[in-house]
Amino acid sequence: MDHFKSLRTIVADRESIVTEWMAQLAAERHELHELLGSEYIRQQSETLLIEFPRLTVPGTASPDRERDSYEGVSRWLQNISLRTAQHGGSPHTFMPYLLRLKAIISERVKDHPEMTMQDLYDGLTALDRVFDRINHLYYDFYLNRREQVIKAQALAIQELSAPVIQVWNGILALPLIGAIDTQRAKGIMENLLREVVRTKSPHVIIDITGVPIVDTGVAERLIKTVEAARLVGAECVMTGIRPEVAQTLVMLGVNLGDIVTKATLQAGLSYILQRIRQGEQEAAFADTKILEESVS
Amino acid sequence: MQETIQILSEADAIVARQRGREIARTLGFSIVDQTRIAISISELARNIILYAGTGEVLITDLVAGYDDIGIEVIAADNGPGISDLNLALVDGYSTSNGLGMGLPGTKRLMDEFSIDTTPGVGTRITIRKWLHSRHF
Repeated sequence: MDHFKSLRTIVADRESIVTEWMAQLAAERHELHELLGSEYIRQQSETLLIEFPRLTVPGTASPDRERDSYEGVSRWLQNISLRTAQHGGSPHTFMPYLLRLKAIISERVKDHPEMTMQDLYDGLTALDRVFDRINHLYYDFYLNRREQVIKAQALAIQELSAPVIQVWNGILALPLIGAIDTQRAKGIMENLLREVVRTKSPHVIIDITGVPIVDTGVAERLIKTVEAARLVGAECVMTGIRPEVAQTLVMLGVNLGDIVTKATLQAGLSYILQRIRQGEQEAAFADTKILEESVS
Repeated sequence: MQETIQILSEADAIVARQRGREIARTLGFSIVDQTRIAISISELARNIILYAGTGEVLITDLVAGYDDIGIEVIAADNGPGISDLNLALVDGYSTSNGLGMGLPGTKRLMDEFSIDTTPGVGTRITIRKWLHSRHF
């Protein structure tokens, strides 16, 4: 039995349905209407109604047939939901727009002159099936897009996360921002060691002003990074430990004993510059001494 | 106010401690105390991931007497449990090659600290911090 037959007859009256639909949207100043423009919405609504009869062909119970008959509507949903999202609309603006059509069609199913109870029941059931399916497709598509965005953002954050900056000849700065989990810590350490070797820098400033929480895990990772840097020939100065972080580190009992720490990035930089100058002076002094000894 | 956060990955540990910090701020805790609470949650949640794989963190606000409020955090898992509780609370002792400061450190950061653990069944750690730290 063709449960969809009455639906097809009703939807064939496209002009009048679209007109009623648009009038309702305009009357309630529907958000989507305002967002995308009435002309665009009218066009899209007509396209949907042109596609609609394909959804009401009997035998769509087979998954393959169903996928085929919903192909056009999927494309339509992708277009309009993308456009809605681009204009800052959410599913909450889109779904009411679509459900308005369902209300109009079910009204017409009910008022259809040759309806028996059975026809009415079948018609409304069929309508439910079609709209459930459209709903499902829409949310699938919407969630997919959201997931893509989230994944892209996670990647972007990871890439941004640990820039190694050469602030002076032989001095690198590593400003850390945000939460440092195992994965990030690994990337940060690899990145730093590579840059130390590449630029032959003997000095590194690790600034943790932007790290809100230093628990024992983060502390351990920082200590390991400093140790590894030492092994490739760089000495680290840690800067930007916030007062509350300092207090909690002491209470936790974490020992940063071997690491030179300074309050600010500036203090760290001037400490290193001083050390470099000292080293130069000592070297110069040693040179003079050698010279004097060789003369005498 | 009560919030349960499922701990399935490191990212959840971050969510848990952020929520803990937010709740602590709403309750009127100072920045240092907020940080203590966030770090404690972080330690407990990380332990869950490290030793049990998964578990949950439950954050609740507390009222005591007329004028004191506090925050309670319960970290529960169905992991292997802690075989030697005394050792686990010794500074520098770790079965995972870590710093070994997580549990003893958390105990120092909080006003109240209790562990309920059964080897092979799981661990449940309850910590509390009071706004006016005089409940012990």
